[in-house]
Amino acid sequence: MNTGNTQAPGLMAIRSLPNYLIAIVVFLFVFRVPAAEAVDIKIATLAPNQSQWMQDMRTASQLIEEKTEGRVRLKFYGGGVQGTEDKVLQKIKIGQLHGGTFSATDFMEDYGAINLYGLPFVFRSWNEIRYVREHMDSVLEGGFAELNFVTFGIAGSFSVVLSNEPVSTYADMKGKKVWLPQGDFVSYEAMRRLQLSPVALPVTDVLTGLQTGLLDIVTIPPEFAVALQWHTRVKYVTNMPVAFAMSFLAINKRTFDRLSVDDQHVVSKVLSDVYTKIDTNAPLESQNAMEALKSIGVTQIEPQQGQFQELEEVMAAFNRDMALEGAYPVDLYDEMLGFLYEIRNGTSQ
Amino acid sequence: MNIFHAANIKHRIVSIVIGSLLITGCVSALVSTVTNDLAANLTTAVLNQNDPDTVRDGAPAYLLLLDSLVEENPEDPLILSSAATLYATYGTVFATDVKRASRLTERARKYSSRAMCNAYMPACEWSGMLFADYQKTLGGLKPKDAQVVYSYGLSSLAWIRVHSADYKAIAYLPYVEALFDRYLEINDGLDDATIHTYLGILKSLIPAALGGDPEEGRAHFEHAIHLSNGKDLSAKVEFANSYARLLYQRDLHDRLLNEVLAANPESPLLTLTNILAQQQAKELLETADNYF
Repeated sequence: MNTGNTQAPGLMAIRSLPNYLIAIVVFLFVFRVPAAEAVDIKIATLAPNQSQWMQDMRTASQLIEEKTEGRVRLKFYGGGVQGTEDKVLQKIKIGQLHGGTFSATDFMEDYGAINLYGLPFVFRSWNEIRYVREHMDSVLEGGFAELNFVTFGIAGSFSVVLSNEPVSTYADMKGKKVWLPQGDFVSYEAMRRLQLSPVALPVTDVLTGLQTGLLDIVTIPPEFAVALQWHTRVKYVTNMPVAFAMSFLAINKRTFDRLSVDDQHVVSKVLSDVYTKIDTNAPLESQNAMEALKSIGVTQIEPQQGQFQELEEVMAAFNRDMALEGAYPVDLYDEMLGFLYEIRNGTSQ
Repeated sequence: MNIFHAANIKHRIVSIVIGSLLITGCVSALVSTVTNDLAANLTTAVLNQNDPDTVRDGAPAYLLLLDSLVEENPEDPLILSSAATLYATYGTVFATDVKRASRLTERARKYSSRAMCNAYMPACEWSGMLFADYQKTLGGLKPKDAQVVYSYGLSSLAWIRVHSADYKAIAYLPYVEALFDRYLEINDGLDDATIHTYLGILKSLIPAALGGDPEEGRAHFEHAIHLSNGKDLSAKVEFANSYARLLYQRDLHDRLLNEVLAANPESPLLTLTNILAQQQAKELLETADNYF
């Protein structure tokens, strides 16, 4: 029986082909599976489109697209066009967005530990924050997995006091109206403990607040003050680190898990490299911004002897109280203080 | 609030439009000391040039010529201003090497500062002055100062752009903006499309979410386009780049840039600028899919 007639015409045709052509046909059929669907990761940020951060991120996005052969694309929505961070988080929940840039306060309620670095008057220098972060960044970043987010490093800078009256002592601050971002309840309570008058305003209203006298003091990294032109409404800057203001990029884990393991590695590596670079440059950027303030006539004030220590003591008691009230884990707070003790007493490892 | 990311703004402040328009003022002032006819002809020739490379290659000779004129007239505000504007132009538009651009715009800044100081004494104290105090001094500027103010503002922008990685430069952006606002008040009632374009860029730098007012920027761009009857293509390119991209308005972005590409760049005193604007429009459209 000639079984050949029962074979599919296609197979017959293939058998009639020379071997090398069969190899090509097989290759085409076997390997020409539909290309993996490209994943667009949509990320919102307040960073203006022409900011250095955005330029770095667009470069990173191109690199990721090249290295993943087009399977992963990062799309950025800068300048706050997707709304404030709480709106961005909502949009991530319903899948309209997949990531964003955030600060610790945006996760204050769901992940208290992320506030540890930003507690007021804990760190005295870049060396101290650097040492503590070497030991604790991975712990804090690990916590984001439980919130279904993947992060790629932390970048931050120290807030300083900007004012229209010189602030060199604790007494200079008492009773003064001090700006803080809306929703930052830890800072709000801290200011009340320090006998200041906290004024919670959206960032859009700060410049007007300084102009109209609604605000006496803003505490903000000097880079931010210059970028947003708040330096046009203040006369003094106090050279004293108030708190470490940090920011990070977080991508929804559900979206991230859609990537192959190899592509996940590419995205993590490229974005982590960007954050490492930003983070490494942060002290120099801060110094440069302080010099800029000085260059346009903002007088730099040094805190009087012992004033910083007094603020530290008041805040140390407050910070512990907040930990005991559950704002952040006591054990992690103590761990942070332990590392601080090491660096201050020369027992660092 | 992830304010940290907002820092280190590298503003793309100085548009290509600086080039030809500043060359106008510079060449006029320079050559008018020799012969008005030559000045007029040379100015027209430069602005009507449709080959930017020719201007790029030819301008350095004029830089040196202006230096020599400054040597002869070290306190003349108009000559200093002319030299400043050409250095600013060349440094931002044609100098591709960063160090060279830095040197050229630094010289522009020095010349224009000296011109400003000689023309208006309070300006001698502007460097290192608090913004509030600086603003008060602007009230004393008169129409007679307009040309020097113009040159000082544009030289400052050029310097800031080239040094935009430095917060010491970024800090002066609101100073320039305030100066241009004042310029429009003292410019003898003559509206100036170029200044409106610059103000459009400056007022679109900070997003509304961070306290900026891009809609004010939009009004300046639209006014600049209106003033030139749509013939100044740079205004449209900057409108697309600074405003439409900031607000992710793809339709507006593409419409403006396609209008630029479809337009005839040949227009009296705008040809050079328009040729450069069309080059930039093409680049912006090519990167639009990636951006939006």
